[in-house]
Amino acid sequence: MSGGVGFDAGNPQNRRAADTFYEQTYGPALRAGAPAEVLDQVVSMVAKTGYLPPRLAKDTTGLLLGGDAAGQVQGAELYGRLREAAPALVEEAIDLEARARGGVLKRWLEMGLPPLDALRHAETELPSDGALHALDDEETTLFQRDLRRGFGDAAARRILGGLLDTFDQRYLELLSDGVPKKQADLFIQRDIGRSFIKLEQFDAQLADAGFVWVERDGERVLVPSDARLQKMAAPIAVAGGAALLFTAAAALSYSIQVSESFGFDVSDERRDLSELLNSVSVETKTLLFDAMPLVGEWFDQVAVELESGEKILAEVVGTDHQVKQRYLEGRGPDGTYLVTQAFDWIADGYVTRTIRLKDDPPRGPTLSASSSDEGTGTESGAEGSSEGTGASTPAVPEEKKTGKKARDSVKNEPHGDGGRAMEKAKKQIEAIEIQIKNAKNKKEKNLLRKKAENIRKAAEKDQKGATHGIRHK
Amino acid sequence: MESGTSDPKPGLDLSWDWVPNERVGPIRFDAPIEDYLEELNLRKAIDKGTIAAVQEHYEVPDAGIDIYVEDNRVDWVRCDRSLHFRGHNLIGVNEAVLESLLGAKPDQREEFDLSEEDDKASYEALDYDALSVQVWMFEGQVESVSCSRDEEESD
Repeated sequence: MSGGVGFDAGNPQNRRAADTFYEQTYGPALRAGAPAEVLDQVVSMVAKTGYLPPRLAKDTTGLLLGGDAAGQVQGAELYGRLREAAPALVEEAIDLEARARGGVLKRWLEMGLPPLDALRHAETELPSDGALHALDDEETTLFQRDLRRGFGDAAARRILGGLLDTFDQRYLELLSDGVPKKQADLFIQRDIGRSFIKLEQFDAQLADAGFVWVERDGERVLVPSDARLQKMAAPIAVAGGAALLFTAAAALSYSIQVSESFGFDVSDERRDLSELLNSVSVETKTLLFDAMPLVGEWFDQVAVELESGEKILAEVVGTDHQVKQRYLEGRGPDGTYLVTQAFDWIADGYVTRTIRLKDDPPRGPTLSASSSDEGTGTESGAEGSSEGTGASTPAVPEEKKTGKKARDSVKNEPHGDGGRAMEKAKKQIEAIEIQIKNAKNKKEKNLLRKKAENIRKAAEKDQKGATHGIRHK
Repeated sequence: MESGTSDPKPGLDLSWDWVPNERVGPIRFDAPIEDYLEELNLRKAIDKGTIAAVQEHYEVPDAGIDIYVEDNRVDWVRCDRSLHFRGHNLIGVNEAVLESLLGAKPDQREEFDLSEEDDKASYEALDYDALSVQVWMFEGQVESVSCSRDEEESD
């Protein structure tokens, strides 16, 4: 047993055997004030088996919360070492208050204080007859006041109890991990402060979007700051106006933001908001996400301004977290736009870097090669230029740049403009082969070979009459 | 260039993942091609079409993989059916996803209008220098990916 060889913590038989072994070998000794070597053996057993017998958890809790000073010291030693050997098991099996008291006492013991001195300090820090609350009475009053200010009386009353429980839980977890009480107090105050700061930031965003909070019957209600819009008191379903949608979306968003900042589950609110947004037009959604970008971010949708000043709704299709860049696609007046945005640390958000049409309109009857610079500065410039990397297709004689022939096959039927296209490809490859011969280095040669070979493959595929609509699986 | 139906199809069973400048699936750049002839059941490509290939190359049966050689060593590899990078098959993705996966914009792009038909889309070749890869797009999707290794500037 002590070696743990072949022990399977998931096997009930193994667990029963370990329980019996603990109870017969160590339990009575621990409860009677066992010597240090018994503690060693108990911790070693838990570490090797990955199993903490329920009776051991109960004994540890009993020692920590018992009135006997020697027992508390022994409990703190045992708890501290078990926490080190199997933190997850300890967190699961031992009572949170016991862990908090064990964490405090163990910390004083680790400082090298004699056991009785350590106990005295621990008792001062965390009185055994006192309630273990994150906030004292004065702090609770202040917190209540801030809540009322943020949520209105009625809502503040509703959520206060749940929030205080959450803070207590977090506070005890910190103490059980050995965090000094003063520091744990600071952590809690810091978390509360951060949550309120987030709310203030969101309020500022709402104010920019034209909304203010007013107190009505003890509730804090979000209304448009424009007095005329405030009079539109009809339900959203009836009125359907953008202003009222904004109000509803903003209120829901606010509720989500507040709840999330305090660690509540907000899946229902998110669903409601999602349903609300699905019921409106793209234009309205664009207006909304432009006014309140945060709401759009939750749904990976962003209002993007085109060069013309028009705003379109674009969806985030990919994000590169390493370089803090993201890629979006959105429908606009001339087709689908591809947008690249980079994170701007000063603006604390993504800003648009490039916008271009996904399917550029036809560029005239060229045989080949229109190039565009994507800002890298390495692209060859004008059509047919062989500058830059030297890898562009050479200029095509003017007489070759004749208009395209009328279409001779129907799209999505097996087709192929036969010999003409093949002839065209052949000419392009011949031009590239000349470039290959003159290539400055292997890198350039390879780039050109790849181009030539891909042209050949494309031409062959077309000649075979591939149906493009089904080419990708 | 089609494979015979009675032959084994090793290409289908392999994971054609790409490690830039290093390898495509099991094929390492600059390795002797003879290392893979038997293992991958390679066939030397014979030009049947109107245009001759610019370079000697081998095909992996039923995998959409062509291996181009120079002095009997792997020079570059072209994939048009499957090429996995960062857990995604690059073939068929749109440019935004491609950029997201490659983490870069192309250093160079060039459009190739191969058709005589008015309504037919052009091909677009995107070159990513640092990755030594050329991606061919058609109708907004990746049609093929040609990979090699970063070569010295001098030949």
